[in-house]
Amino acid sequence: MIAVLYPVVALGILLLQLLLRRHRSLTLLGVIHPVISLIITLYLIVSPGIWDDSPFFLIDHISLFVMLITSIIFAAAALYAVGYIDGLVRSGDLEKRSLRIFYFGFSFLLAATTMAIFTPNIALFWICAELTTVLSAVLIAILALRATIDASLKYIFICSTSMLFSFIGIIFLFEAVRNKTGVGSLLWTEIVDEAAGLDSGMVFIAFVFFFIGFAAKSGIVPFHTWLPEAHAKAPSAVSAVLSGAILNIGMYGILRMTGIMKETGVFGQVSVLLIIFAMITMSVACLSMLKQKKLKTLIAFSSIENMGFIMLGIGIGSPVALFWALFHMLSHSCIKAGLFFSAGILHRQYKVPTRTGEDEIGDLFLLQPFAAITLMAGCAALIGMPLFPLFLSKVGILLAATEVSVWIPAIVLLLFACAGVALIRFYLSVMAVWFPAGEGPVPYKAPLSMKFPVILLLIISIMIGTVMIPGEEAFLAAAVADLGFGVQL
Amino acid sequence: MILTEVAPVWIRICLILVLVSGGFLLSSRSMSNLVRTYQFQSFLLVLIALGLCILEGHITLLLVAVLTLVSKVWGIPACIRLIQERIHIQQDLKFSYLRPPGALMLSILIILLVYVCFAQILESLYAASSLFFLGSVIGVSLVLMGLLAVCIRRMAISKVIGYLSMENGVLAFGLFVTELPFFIEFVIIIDLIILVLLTSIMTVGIDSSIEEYKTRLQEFHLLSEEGGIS
Repeated sequence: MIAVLYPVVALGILLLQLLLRRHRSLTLLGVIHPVISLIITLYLIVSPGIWDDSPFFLIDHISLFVMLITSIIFAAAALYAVGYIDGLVRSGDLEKRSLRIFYFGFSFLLAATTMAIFTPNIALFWICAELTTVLSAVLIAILALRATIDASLKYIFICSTSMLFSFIGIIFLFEAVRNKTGVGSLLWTEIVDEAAGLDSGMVFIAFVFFFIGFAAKSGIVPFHTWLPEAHAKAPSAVSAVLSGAILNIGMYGILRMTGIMKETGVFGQVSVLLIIFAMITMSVACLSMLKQKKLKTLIAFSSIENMGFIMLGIGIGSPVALFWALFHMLSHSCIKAGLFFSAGILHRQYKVPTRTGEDEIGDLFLLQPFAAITLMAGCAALIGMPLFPLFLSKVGILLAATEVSVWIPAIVLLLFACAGVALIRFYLSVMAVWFPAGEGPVPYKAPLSMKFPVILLLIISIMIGTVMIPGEEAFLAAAVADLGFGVQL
Repeated sequence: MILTEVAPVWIRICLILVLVSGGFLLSSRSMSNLVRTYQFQSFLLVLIALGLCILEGHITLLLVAVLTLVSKVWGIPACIRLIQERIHIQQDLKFSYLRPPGALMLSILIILLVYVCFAQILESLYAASSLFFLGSVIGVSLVLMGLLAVCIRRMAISKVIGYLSMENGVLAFGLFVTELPFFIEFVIIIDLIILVLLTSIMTVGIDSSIEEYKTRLQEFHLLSEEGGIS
């Protein structure tokens, strides 16, 4: 019952955040919460013997894997927020009285995400996922500017309206199970057990409706329109969490639902549907990246592209593709969060986007050598250069895709080339700008707390890109097996 | 005995009226009418829940009816009226993409499309339980009509009503699955209240200019003078 510590710790932290007033205390609590979550997750990962059959938690390889990513990203973002939020308060961009809302919202978001991952009940999963939308919206709007409120509203409306369709899907699924067994069920495990003989028409409708909501949550085209604005306008610490952890919640829902569909007679149709949406998503995202002139919007479109790629892996549906899709999820989260952190440092330096709406970045290596190098590394990682983990997952999924059609890897490679061109062109154009002597801004000294998470995530990325951590392969294979694909090693 | 015979007809009439109210939400320009229509639509859901309670004898449905009455017929409309009074918006004349007549035509097409699709895919269900089938068609149609309202309305507060109408569609459908645990309806309402509160705060900002935003928050006591959202 060690998992019970997740809600207990969250409750304690949230209560303390309501009681304590000092900035430092709030910051400290904001860091402690994800770090404890990370420790609990690591402990659970290395102790499979204690994954008991608690009716309140669904602890298996896949839920622990997603929780591991979530904890890493939240912990890194909380550390980053120490210096970043302090800077925003000092510069007057964030009002001091909003600090408590920020940290409370941040911890509550982690708690809701944790519960979404571990709940064994599909309806509770939906409720927790909805809560993450509301809480993320608060964090996006925290700067109380018209642009951030606008982005936040757009996010709420698109995600919440789409999520209502998901609930219809859940009702259909419940009814399908009831038609077969006489008693409906909302438990993931029970639905998987009963999936084999469910009415195919009703199950397919259930999947389509469920997909609409969680596709919107993961930024899949055509439900993606909220994402570039929300990720670009939010403070960088929030953008990192949204991109590295919250998008995964949508993908986690789709993964679990696809696992159910695997046992039914409609998996073929589901697979085609996922591949089509994945290809459309990647095409729209990669082509949109070509015309972006703002760093954070460019990174946001790259998130859409990567979500599309993960969904391609899910759609292919072979154990190998699923294995690399999960690997891609971890790698993308680490790289993308690091990139948003670097973009945050540039934001503090250049106050981008400026009043003209454009990024006016110049003297990059002179003013911000650290951000310049990490940004370069992040872009290289996103392109899929060797040494970085996305190289492995891209090769893995593309090879698996050849089993479906050789056209898929051909088109995807072309799209990757577009994305690569967009990233390199942006970076080169920024590097080429030099301010006239004496007209450049004063260098901004980023605190260590803002640099450390970037270095940490970069090290994790390179580590998982170059060496297989002992047990990593077996754990991922077991996660794939948990979903009903492949055999556990 | 008579009630058991009357209940299916009563439920069918209410379901049709729910659709009609969805049409009103698409075309009404007056804010007070919009809220009133939403209130009426929610009241119809209460009647459907009572009808189903008579028909199937599940006490859960009675509880859902009471909860819907308190939250959707009374609580949420009162909350929206309060915001409406404070932001002094009486009419919503701005539409995007489609004007009300076009939206109504599209919603008729949506209902037909949902009926045809569901009739083909859920053929066995139609034979087994025609009332559940009707509930699913009207519930999903109402969700899509609500979505249409969210898309064509420009003001955030009207969009919120469109969203709430979508949620009514989900509830209308959910009512026919009586075994669906009661706590789900309960948590949906909690979730809704959070959403309405949050969106209300934002509505104050989005329907005014940047300069007015913080002044308005203070004026409406959403932001205290010395700090923190009160």
